Amino acid sequence: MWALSKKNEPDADLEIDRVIHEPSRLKIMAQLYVVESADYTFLMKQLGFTWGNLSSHLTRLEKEGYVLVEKEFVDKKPRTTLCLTDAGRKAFNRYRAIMKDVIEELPE
Amino acid sequence: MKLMNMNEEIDLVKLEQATFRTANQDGLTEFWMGLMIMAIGMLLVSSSFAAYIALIIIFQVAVTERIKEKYTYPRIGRVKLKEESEIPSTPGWIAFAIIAIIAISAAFISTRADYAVVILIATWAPLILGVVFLWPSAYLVERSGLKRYYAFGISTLILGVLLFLIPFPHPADRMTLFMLFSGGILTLAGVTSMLRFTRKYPILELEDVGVEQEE
Repeated sequence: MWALSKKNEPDADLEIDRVIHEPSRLKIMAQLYVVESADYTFLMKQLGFTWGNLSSHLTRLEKEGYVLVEKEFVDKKPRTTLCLTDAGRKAFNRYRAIMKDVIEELPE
Repeated sequence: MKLMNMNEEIDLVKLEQATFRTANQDGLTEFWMGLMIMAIGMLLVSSSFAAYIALIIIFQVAVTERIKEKYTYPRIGRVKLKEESEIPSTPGWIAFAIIAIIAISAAFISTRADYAVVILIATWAPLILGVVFLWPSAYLVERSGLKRYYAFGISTLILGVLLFLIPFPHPADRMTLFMLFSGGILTLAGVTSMLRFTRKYPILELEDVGVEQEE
C-alpha cells in the first residue's frame, strides 16, 4: 500500500504531506509553483480567497518553511512578495508524485 | 499534470496559462509589440525612425513598469512569471529584433544593391513575414491557452499573401503597408484591452486588500 508500512503504520517516505493536502493550501502551493513570485493582492484575486483566509494559510506554509514572505517598503508603501522556497518546491513535487501513485493504484 | 485531492482538481498547465492571461490582460504587451512593428514599417519610409525604434527598445521595460505600477498592480496585484527572471528578453522581443535586423538590412540593401534584387526582396518580404508572424501567434496561444491569438497570425498571413499578389507602383510600399497594418492591429488590440481592463478592475482600496497593506 502506498502510505502504510508492513506493520500497518504510516511509511514516512510515502506519507501524504497534510500541510499541502489541505485544499486551500494546495491551491496556494500550486499557484506559487507556476510563478516566480506574487503578492497578496494577486493571490487573493486569482484564488478567490479573503485576506484573512489567505493570511492564515500562508502563515502555516511559512512556518513549515514552504513559502518565503518578503516584506519591504517601496515609495513609502508596504509590499509583500511571496514565493515558494526550495523546500516548498521539493515538498510539492513529492506530494504530486505520491498523489499520482495513489490515483494510479486505485482499482478500476 | 493533474493533481487530485478529494474533490479538488488542479491542472498545472491550465493554472500557468490562467496566470499568464491575468498578468497580461492589461494589453501593454500587444501595445508595445504593435508600436514596434509600425516603427519598423516606418523605417522603410524614413531612416530617422531608427532612433524611434532605439528609444522603444531602451525605454520599453522602464516605461512599462511605470505604467504597470500605476494602472496594473493596484488592480490585480503583482506577479512575476517564471520566464521573466530566467530570460533577459522574451521570445517575442527576440523575434522583433530579428525582424528589425531584416528591415534594416532591406533598407540598407535598397540603397546599395541592384534594383532587381531590391524589387525581389520587397515583393517577397510581406509573404515571408506573414509566415514568420505565425510563430509569436502560436507562442501566445501556448502561453495563454487562448486560441484567439491564432487570429493575429492568420490575419497577418492573409495580409502578406494579398500584398504579395497585388501590384504596387513602388515595391517597398508592400512592406510598409504590411508592417503598418499588422502593427496597427496589435496596437489597437492593446488599447482595447487596456480600456477593458481599467473598466473591469477598479483600483483596490486599502480596506479591500486587507490589514496587510496597513502595516
